[in-house]
Amino acid sequence: MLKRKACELSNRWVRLGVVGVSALAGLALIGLYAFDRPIPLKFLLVAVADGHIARTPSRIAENRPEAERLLPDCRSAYGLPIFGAGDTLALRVGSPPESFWLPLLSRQYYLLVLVPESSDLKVFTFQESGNRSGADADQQLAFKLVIPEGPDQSNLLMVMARRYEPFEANQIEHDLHAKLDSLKPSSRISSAGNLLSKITSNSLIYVFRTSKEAQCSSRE
Amino acid sequence: MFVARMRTIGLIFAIGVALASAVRALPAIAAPAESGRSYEFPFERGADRLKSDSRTSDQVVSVRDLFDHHGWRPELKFRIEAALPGGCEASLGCAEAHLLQHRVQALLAAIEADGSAIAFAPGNLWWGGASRANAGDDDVLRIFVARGLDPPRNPRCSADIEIADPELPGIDAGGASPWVLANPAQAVAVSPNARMRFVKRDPAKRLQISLSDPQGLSDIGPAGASEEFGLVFSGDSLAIQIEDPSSADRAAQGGCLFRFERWHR
Repeated sequence: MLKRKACELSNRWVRLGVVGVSALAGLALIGLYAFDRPIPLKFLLVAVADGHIARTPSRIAENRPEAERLLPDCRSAYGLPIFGAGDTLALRVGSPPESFWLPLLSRQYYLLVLVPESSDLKVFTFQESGNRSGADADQQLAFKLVIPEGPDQSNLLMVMARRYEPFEANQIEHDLHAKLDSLKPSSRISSAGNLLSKITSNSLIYVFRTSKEAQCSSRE
Repeated sequence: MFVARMRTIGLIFAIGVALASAVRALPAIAAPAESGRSYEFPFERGADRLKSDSRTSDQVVSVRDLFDHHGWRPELKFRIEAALPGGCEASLGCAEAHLLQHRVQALLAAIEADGSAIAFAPGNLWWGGASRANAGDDDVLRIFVARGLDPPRNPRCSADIEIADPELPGIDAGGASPWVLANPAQAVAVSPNARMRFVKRDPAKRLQISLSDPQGLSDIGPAGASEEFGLVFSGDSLAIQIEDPSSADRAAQGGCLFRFERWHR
């Protein structure tokens, strides 16, 4: 009698254990999916103050929102977009909305890295996303960069995104300097791309040239 | 016995197909192509948030479909507009224009939320203001079509094809003709209600038209100076070739081909 009772109790504990382990494994899988699933980033349309609607990244004349004006597309002989000193590069990125419960599990964090061939590199965080609080999946992030005076050169612009924890912007900047500062200008862009793509696979890349003088009719 | 029954079934099927084609052609005859479809988006008063209801969601999906199929066409320019105070429509310098810009951005976000990027021809999408007197409700964005650049005409063709499609938004500047030149370079998506007409470059010439499908056109009959047809799809695409029987160079005319795809399947 006692032996049967002990056996029943043992079976109950085994069943409970199996159910518990399965539930934990299920939760772990859901968590893994929620935090590790890819972020399908894309460049979005922007409504410029002069009435144009354009796909970003786009070239804008002035940085004041009420005076901004879309400039015509300007490209080098190799097809790379060209930005003159003083032009503004306008950028808008986003990702599709997700199922109702998924955003509760993970926020998205963004980082923008600009690596010129020979000038100093820059690492930016998007203001809208907050540096530490992150952004909702369907939140669009806008960024404007005024092209500074500098040499004619190619530039890599990389928008990076990830879930769960923010990027360590200072650490990434430090690592990039350590890796790139000793390299020849021609190698900096490809090396930076390789280094950054190891940090996250969720990224958008835009390569463009900057020029001391505007090469296309731009600001009359 | 069996053969007779199969014949009867075949006959019923053929009549059914013929009836279906006729019914599909009916809207093309009945629908006034002059009034384009209305695409309207109500916003919360004084805010840049789209009112969320099922009609707005349906409209967003429709506009996504519209831009997906027609955003590349240089002959069409899409304009998103709303009422603005007098004097501000041109300069877009007032506070209301600033709010309108934010609303347009919110609408674009909703349209682009799902799916891949929409391929617009450069300069094909604009936003702006209409004078309050003509625009109606201040808190509603509307989409209109303005004429863009005519598509490159095929020099081998003795005629062009023009399309009036009531599923496209109304052409702005009230009373403007709804007819738009079809692009011979790329297949144009048309709804089942679209009408077409041939515009001969030499009105005296007799042209020969061949179709990829014998049921491709429904003759609506003469309207004004030209004859109009409804485009009837039995498949997903339709090709129309125009030939000039009087021309000696028949081989060169093989290139005068217009292609259409069914839109709103």
